[in-house]
Amino acid sequence: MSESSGFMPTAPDQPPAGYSPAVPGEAPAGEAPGGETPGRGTFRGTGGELLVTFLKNHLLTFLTLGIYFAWARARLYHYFYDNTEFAGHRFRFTGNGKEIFMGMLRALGILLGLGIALSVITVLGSLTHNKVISILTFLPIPVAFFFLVPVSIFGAMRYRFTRARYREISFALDGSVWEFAKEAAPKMLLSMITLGIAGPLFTHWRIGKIYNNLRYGNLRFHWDAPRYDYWLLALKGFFLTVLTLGVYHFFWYPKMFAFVRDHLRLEENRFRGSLLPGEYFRLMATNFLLVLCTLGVGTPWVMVRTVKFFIERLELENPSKLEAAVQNAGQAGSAGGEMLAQAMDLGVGLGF
Amino acid sequence: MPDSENAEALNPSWRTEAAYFNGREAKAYRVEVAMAREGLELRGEVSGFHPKESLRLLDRQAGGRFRLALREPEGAVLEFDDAQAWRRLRDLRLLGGGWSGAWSDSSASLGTRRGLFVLVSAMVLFGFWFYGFGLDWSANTVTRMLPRSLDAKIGETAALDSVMNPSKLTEAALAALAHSARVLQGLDDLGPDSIHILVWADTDNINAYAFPGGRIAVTTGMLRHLTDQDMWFALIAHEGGHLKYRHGMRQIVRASLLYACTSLLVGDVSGLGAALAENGGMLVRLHFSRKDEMEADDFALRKMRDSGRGTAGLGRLFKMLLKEEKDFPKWAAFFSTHPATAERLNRLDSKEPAVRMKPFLSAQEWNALKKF
Ligand SMILES: [Zn+2]
Repeated sequence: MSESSGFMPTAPDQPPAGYSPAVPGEAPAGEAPGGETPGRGTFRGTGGELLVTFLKNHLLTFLTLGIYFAWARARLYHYFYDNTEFAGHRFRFTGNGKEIFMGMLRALGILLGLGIALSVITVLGSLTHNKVISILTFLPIPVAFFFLVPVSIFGAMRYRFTRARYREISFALDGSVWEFAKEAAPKMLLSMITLGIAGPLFTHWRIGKIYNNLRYGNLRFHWDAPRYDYWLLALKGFFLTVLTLGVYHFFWYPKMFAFVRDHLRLEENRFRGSLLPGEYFRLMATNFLLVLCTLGVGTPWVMVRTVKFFIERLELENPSKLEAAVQNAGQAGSAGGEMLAQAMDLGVGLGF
Repeated sequence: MPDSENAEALNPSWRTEAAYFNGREAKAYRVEVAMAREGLELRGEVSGFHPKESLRLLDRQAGGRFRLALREPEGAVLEFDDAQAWRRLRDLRLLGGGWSGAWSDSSASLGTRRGLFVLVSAMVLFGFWFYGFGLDWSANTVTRMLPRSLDAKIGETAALDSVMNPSKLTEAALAALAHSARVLQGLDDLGPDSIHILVWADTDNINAYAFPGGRIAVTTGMLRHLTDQDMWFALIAHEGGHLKYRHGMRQIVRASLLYACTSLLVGDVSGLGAALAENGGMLVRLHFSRKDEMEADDFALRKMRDSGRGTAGLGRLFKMLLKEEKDFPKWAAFFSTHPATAERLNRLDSKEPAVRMKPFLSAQEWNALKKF
């Protein structure tokens, strides 16, 4: 069995809990709001546990001809959510293998149906022996792609948030998936036409769209990063990284992380923290060596220390304010989008 | 468990702190929890008794961090961070009926869990069946559906790197190979239009292989160890058996199917095309199964008897291989393509009456072959 793409949450598909905006914690009792110590998080999981989880998942998935994949995925989410601690309390994943399995079937159904429909259209088009019609019949393929990608992104995010609990209050992602897709499609097209130059604008829109629709119980997240600042930062990062043969990445990434984080708040409480280029470089260098020297066996440890690194660099001011969160009506959210994203090998995360 | 801890578990005045969440507010209520055989007693910001049947373990981590779901009120959870509390909970068997593992769904009933268990077991059994039996069956079926003409195409892509260039072979050697191929072709309908016997410049290995499409490759090491023409006949007839029954093709199909299945399972389909494209190279590393070898042996034996030369040649071939296997472990390569020589030797009937040898090559041809 090879450690291949689909299965492991590889870089962009990182453990959701790690990248979900860490949520408020409790304050030392009795302290006045405003003068509080910020809420901090950590990750409690170990690489050993993760390795065992991976091995079990691979084995059972292999033995069940892939059926166990859904349960394996649930197990992995449990591992990452349940081990993420913020201000003394842990997150909890409330999803399960059964619903992911149903999502898997739904995603397969959609892809299969769409695939058949699109093939039939193109075959019919070619039967007309008319060049114009034949070419036109290929048009639905990119259109379907431009809708399917954002639908999966949004669906996956909604699934992960609605299944995340902190202090037994769920997160929720408001808004409609179709509206998201409708707005996303032209932006994706634009970034493609501009050969990626406009890409960061799409990312900016996407992060904002997700965060501004995100709730913890009845408390709302807000993200108000200026569009062109984000775009400039991203482009500068890209070009300088290329020019410096990658060295600049270690300076740029912490900046980008800080930029996204500093514009995020939960109601009126801002996120903050520090991430220095030196420590980020150390993390990446040691991760690289760890994977290399252990011939890949060290991957679970690399994932754990990476998640821990980022969670520990995310703080929230006035964590006691969040005791006020109240559970709103639950959101259903299916695992269909999640699995669609999986099937299309999309890295879904709130990265930047 | 040491007695002292057991005593502690039974001590009714023992208490621990926990955080209580009611599932409607984010507020963490501080509670003191007392544990008894019957259940949990909460005191503090929230109070009440929770019988053990109403407790369910949500998760547990090192260092005594664990969470329990309560049945009443719905959605309520107790969060502990106390290794002693965990031990006590276990010693009092408070999770006896409610234990469901940390990963299960909060609403999954025992019934659906049993259903899942049955489903997973069935899939595991199917997996074993498929690997042990279904795979071969599918490979056979698929091979039968593939046209014979495909065999030659696949065989052509096989990496025959070290095959000797015909220009380096003597006229007599070429004649010997062509003559042998003609004799083999005349034995039976082996499928391929024409059979070619090629020589691998490899003195270290004693080996032979029948590629789909009619190419049989023999190592120079093998030729050197043949002592008479009956052995040579036995060898090519055996390889002819592999051709007749399309063993090479079946192995490729089988390996491709296995590869396809595992790729699908592991979710990496990208490598599949590449692997199928290079299955020529894969061929050399493949080996025939025990069953295939026996089938080819039986074919050789039949042809040897039919041609009136008896089966002793195959016996001598096996004995030679056994001896070389023992003497030179570096010829391990042979085991990979022709396993269990001893077993195959034992299958031969030693009581079969000896028949006079029947050379089919001229002395000049035979000597040229032996000179490799
Ligand atoms: Zn053989």
